[in-house]
Amino acid sequence: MKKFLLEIVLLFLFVALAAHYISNLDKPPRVKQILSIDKKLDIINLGTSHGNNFNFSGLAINGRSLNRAGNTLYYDLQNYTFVKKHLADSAIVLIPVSYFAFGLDENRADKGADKSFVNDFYEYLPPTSIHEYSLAKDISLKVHRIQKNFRGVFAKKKVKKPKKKPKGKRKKNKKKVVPFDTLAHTAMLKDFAIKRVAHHKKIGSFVRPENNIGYLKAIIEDALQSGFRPVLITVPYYREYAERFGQEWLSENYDVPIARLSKEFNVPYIDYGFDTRMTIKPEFFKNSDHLNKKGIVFFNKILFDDLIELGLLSNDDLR
Amino acid sequence: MLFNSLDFAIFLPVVFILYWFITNKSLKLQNLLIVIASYFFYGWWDWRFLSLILFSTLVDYSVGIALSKQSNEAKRLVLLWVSIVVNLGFLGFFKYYNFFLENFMTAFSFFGTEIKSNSLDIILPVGISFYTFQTLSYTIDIYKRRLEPTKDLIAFSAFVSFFPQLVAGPIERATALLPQFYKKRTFDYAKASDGARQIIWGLFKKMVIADNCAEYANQIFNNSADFNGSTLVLGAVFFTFQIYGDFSGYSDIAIGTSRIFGFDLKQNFAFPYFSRDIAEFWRRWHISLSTWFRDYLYIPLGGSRGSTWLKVRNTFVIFIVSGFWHGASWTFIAWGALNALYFLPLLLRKKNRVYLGPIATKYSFPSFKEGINMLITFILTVLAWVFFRAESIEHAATYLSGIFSGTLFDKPELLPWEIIILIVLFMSVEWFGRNGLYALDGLNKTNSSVLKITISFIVIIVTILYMSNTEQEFIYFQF
Repeated sequence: MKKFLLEIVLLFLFVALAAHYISNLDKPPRVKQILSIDKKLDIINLGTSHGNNFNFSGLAINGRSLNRAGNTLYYDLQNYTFVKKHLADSAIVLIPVSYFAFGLDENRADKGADKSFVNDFYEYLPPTSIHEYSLAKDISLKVHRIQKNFRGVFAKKKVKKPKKKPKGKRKKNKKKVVPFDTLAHTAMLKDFAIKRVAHHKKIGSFVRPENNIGYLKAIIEDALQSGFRPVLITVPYYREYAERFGQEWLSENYDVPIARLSKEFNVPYIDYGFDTRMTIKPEFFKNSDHLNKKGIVFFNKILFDDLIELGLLSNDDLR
Repeated sequence: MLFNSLDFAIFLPVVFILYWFITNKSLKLQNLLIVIASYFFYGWWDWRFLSLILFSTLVDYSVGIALSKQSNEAKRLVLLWVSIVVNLGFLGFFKYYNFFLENFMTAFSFFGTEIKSNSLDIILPVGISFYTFQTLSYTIDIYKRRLEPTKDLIAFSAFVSFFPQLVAGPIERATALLPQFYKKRTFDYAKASDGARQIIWGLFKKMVIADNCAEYANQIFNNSADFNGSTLVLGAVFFTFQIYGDFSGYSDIAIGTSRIFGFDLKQNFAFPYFSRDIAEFWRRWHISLSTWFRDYLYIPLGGSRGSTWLKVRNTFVIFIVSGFWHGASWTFIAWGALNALYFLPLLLRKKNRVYLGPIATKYSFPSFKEGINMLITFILTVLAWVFFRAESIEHAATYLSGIFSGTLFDKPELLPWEIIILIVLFMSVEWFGRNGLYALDGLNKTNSSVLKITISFIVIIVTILYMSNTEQEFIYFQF
């Protein structure tokens, strides 16, 4: 019996070691970004894909975006808790809150079977931080990661360097510059806004907001207690998007709870949702609620100025 | 509880520890543990159906004792029929009620009489076809005076509900399995170690071969009208390996698990796709069911004795009943009938027992003649599986006509090389292990623990690396 048990234990130990090794060969980019933090962070942002608007490369201080497309405030809290140890004293914690954020359930039941945003959290968060953690799902995701990494090893080996063309025949790689068609782009933004607002209003009232307000409170409370400086933010949206929500809906589902939290904890709240320096300019938007490269540059300039004005950043922090 | 689930991965070690470390002092306690564990295992799906097993157990236990006390042949026959009616009654109700109802309604409407009747929304209890046949063998064997009835209700309950083979076989005879519950079991390292390896191999067959093939077989069969002939061939071939990996994989896990607990179950699959004719295929495929039908149906009907007409009748009866056992659908009946047609020429020419021994024992590869025979048998089997997998007879017919259309030799529209290579490697391992009870049985000849652990390690790693991400239920659970 002893020999049998010993062999079984040894076998599973070897398997576990091999599986662990392969599963750690590679991770999704967002996960790698979080796991590779090696310096104290002076500024971070949380949030959904709307958090992609932040770019800290213009700062001389160390910053990182920890947002995730499809994210919920529950996982914002878990992410914040996970990276807290890497935050510098009085680090700035930017919390962009999307219009629909208070109406989402923790694991986004509205997304149906696609729970890919939760899958990433299984890669680094402890089971206690994952809402309705499932060991079976954890194992299946680990297996999936192992398979992906294993195939990745061969895929990398297969990549061949392109053959160099003879010098004389080499063509200059000229990029064609497509002129910006304002009318067409504006029409696209409007069309997109109609669809997005219909969807976001629906998911924005999917569940009662108490839990989400609680998660946001928890982030703010903990940040303040730890000496960090939280800032609530509404990112800029294309005019058509923000307006289509309607004052009544926004006030009830968004503005009132945000304003109450800002007042209760005395934390700054910067609302760019209707900031006409950006929201009326289609050339800044990739789609109705996401900025393009040009928009991101412009937005971050304004943001840093506002943070300086609030006394959260100084001119020395700018690059 | 599925064998390839996390639930079972927790359940098995817990039962193992309780069995060998807590209850090992008493045979009764060990048997009781098997009953409790088996009922827990079965109740994990739907605890309501435990009552069926319990009722079936009590009826057959009582009938067995009553049969041994009764010497009046007429009364003994009545007792036997009680057991048959109860067991087949359950099976008939849960599995075939709606089928017969719908077909009667169709038949009457054909003659112009409309009958209004409501079909019932019946859930088929998992594995009912397996355990009813197992308990039936008990009463039939006592009736035929081949077996003494047991007075030990716990041992009998354990025999009926033994969790490794409860839901998908092998269908064990009472004469072979029941006595094992009377004897004290002691832990046997070699047996347990081999059992663990057979479980690992079974999991590989199920999770890598069957589940990966299932993805493509489902895709092709569910959209068969959209694919060319060569892709349809590929779909049928994928299903051929899916059903083999699925069912023989289950049997391997069942046999392996039993061995860990000190039990021996019969071999259920003996490398059937290496068969050189259909008769040999049926001696190697689902052996426990084939021999059950042979002993309890075919031979009582007269078997291969008697006139040509009787031989033809008996062959069709056994194959059609076997097909119908798999499910209440005309596709299964057609599959059975087609196999009967394959088998009959061999029987009538008295060539059905040509290939009784192992394949190419002295050589690494089959002879040219053996190779050709294996290929023909394999092709016939693949074509028959089309009926087994199809949604209806019409679907099977259009699928086969699609295969034999002008696009048979076109390039397949789906060609998953990774799966094809895995199948080739799998069949190569099966080929080199064909003389054992399962593909890795040959490892028992070596004393090297390092080699055994290394092979197991490789199989587990390959399983993890290539297991399908879409978990499929075992096909035979529905039977």
